[in-house]
Amino acid sequence: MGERTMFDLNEQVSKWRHRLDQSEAFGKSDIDELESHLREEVERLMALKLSGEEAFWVAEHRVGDTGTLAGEFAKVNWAGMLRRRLFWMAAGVLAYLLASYFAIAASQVCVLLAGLNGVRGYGLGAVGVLSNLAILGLAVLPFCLACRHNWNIMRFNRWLDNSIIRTTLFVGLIATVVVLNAARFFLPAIAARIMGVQEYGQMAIVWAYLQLLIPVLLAVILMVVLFKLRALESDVVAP
Amino acid sequence: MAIKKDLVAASATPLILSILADGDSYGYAIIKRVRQLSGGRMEWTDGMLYPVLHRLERQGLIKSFKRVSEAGRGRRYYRLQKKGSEALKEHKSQWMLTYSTLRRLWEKEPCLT
Repeated sequence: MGERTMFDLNEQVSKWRHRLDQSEAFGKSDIDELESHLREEVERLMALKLSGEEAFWVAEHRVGDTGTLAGEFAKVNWAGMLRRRLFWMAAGVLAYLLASYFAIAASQVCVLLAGLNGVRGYGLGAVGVLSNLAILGLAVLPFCLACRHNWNIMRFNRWLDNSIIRTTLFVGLIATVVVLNAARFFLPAIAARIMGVQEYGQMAIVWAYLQLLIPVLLAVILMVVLFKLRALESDVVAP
Repeated sequence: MAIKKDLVAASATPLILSILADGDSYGYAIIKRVRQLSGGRMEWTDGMLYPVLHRLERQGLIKSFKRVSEAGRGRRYYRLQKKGSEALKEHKSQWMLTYSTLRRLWEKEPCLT
C-alpha cells in the first residue's frame, strides 16, 4: 500500500456529502440531517476506540448506500423533484428565447451600425447573418464551459430550493425576454427608416435565408450539449 | 435472530410514533432507542429512517423543528402531533389484535366444544 496519508474526517465527510449532492433526490436539509447523524455515529465509534478512519467507514455503511437512500428519498421528495424538473424545462424554453432574441436584436444593432457607416444591400445582409451566428455561438459557450469544467449542475438545483433566488431568476429571465422581443421588432423599423425600404429589403432577403439555417444549427448545438452532458453523467457514476 | 425486512418496514411507523410519544427526539436518538429496546435485533439502515420521518411529517403526524444541542450541533427534532397520537392509537389496536390472534393460535388453548 505504501505510505498512508493522515485520515481527514472533514475531508471524507465533504466527499461523502458531494456524492449525495449528485442525486436530485436529496434536498440540502436532508443532507445536513444525514451528516449530523453520520458525525454522531463516528463520535460514538471513536469513543469505543475505533480509529477515525474505521469509525467513518462503519458509520458510512450504517447510514446506507447512496443509491438505495436516493431511491427512498426520491419517493418522499418527488414533488420537489418534479418542480425542479419543470423549472429546468421552463428555464430551457426561456433560455432558448433569450439566446435567439438576443442574437437577433444584437445583430440588428450591428446591421444598423453598418448601415450608418455606408454598407448597403447584400453586404448589409452578410453583416446581419454573420453577427447573428457569432452571437448565437457566444450564447452556447457557457454550456460548453459547464461541460468541460465538470460543473456540479446539482448545485444549481439546490439554489432553486431558495424561493427568492428562484423567483428573481425567473422574473429576470421573463423581463429580459420581453425587452429583447420588443427590440427585435423595433430595430428593423428604425433600420428601414434610416436606410430606405429598398436597401433594407435586400438585407431582409439574406436574413430570410438565415431563418432556414438557424433551426438546423440549434438542433446540432442541442445534440452536442446533450452528448457532453451524457459524458458528464458517466463521470459522476464511476467511483 | 434478526427481524425480517418486511416486518421492520411495517413496524417503523408505530415505533417512531411511540418513541415520539415519550417526548421530542431526533433521528440518531430514535435509532439508538430502537436498537436498545430490541437488543440490537431490529437493524435499520440508519439513513432509511429519515424518509420515513419526512413522510410522517408530510402526513401531519409529526412536526420537525431545528434545535442546537449542548455540543453546538444543529439537529432536526421531531414532535408528535395530535393527528399522530390518534394514528398511534389505531396502530396500537391493530398490532394488539394481530398479537392476540397469533397468541391464541400458538398457545393452543383446549377446545371445550
